[in-house]
Amino acid sequence: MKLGLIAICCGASATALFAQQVKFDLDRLAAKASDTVDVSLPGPLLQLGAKFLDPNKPDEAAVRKLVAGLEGIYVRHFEFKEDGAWTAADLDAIRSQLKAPEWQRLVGWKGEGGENAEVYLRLEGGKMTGVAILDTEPREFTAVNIVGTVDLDALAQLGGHYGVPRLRNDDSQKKPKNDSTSKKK
Amino acid sequence: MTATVLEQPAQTALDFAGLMKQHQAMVFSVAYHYLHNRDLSQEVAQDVFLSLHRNLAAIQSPAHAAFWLRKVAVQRSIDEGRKRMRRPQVGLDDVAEPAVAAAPGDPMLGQMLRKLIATLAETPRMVMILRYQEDLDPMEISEMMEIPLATVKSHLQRSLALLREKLARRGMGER
Amino acid sequence: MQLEEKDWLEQQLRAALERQDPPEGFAGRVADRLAAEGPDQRRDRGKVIAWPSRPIRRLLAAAAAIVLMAGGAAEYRRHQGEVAKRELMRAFYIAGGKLNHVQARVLEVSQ
Repeated sequence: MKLGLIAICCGASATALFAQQVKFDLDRLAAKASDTVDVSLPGPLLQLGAKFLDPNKPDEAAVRKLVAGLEGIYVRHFEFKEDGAWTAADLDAIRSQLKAPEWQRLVGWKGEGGENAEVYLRLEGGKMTGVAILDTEPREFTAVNIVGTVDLDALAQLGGHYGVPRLRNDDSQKKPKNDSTSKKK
Repeated sequence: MTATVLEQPAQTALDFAGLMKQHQAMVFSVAYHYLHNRDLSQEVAQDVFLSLHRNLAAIQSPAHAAFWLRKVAVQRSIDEGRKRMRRPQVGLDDVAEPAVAAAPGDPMLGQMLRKLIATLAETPRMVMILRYQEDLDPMEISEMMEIPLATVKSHLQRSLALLREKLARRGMGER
Repeated sequence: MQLEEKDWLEQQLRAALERQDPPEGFAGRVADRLAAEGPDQRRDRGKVIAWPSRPIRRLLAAAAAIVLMAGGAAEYRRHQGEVAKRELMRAFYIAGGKLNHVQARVLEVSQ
């Protein structure tokens, strides 16, 4: 799948307000990736894009609501043809920034073979001022920094809109398998 | 992978000579691949840069300049093509290839493809050039040419099928 | 097989339509025309088109420039907005999807 790359040059005066909170130094991964999504939308561009969202389309209306409290969104998503393209060091370079006192880990999950998912919140004066999401699979590496206040439930619901199965309570109940390999006596 | 650049307005003055050096290949090639005539393409390309010079004050940034130049090159090429329609047609076989550097890949095939592209109708011809020369995606082509996205996709699909068929008839398909 | 054929043809098209530099001396010819902008005549396939008088031509050029400027800047802004919107949707698609993924994994574990 061909994905777009977007780069932003910000004026110095705008940087302080809309600055990315977590630095993504991932050029090394970009060089190896078969597909890359690189989105950097600081405040003014975020609001410009939001103006063009169609309130009559449910997904665009949902994004419009989400954008209201935001000051920036930064995404790096890489897909690779082979395992081993990213290393723990790449993850740690981002994680080390999330050890700062204003960041708190909300949830984390670690699976087999390099699967890893973490969500962090940035809190200042008891108020949410940012979110960081790290998600890796053997052939994928995703880092997201959302600057500002965002409704996480609404954001996760958006993930369901796009074909990713939305989290439902009954998803947790697994049907018993028919053991087709069992031999009858 | 395409690169899209969104910029805040440039603080420094734009350098006309620098812009011309940076974009002359793009402008000339849009015109040449559309018109398939070296002299006309040069003239169109010159007109585009003269127009840029006159409008330089209105250009907001280097990215705006690139967008503007591409758009004007497309418009001027189409206009020039329409003027030619009113004149006696020249057979494709009569149109000589320019003495430019050979493109990578099979030169015979490349020459044939350029000639076949030049036989397409106005809109699909420019759609194909914007797609395969400029690497614009269908949405960007739709915005550039102000035609519906579905029309762009349909032109791409049909043009590819037509080219494949014409190449096969000439024994120049994939081996 | 059809996909491979399409890929092959697209590859050949990219090679055939690769950008070419204009013939040598292009920049010089543009500079000459800039310097000569005045009551020169432009040839059009052998047909001579007389230029209007200088003051009128400047007025016409200025009027055309104003139309082009107004349309050009607004159009570029719209283009920027559409691009920003596409990137915004893409960013939220990925962020929402990953968040959903995290929630799903955590729920699996808690069962």
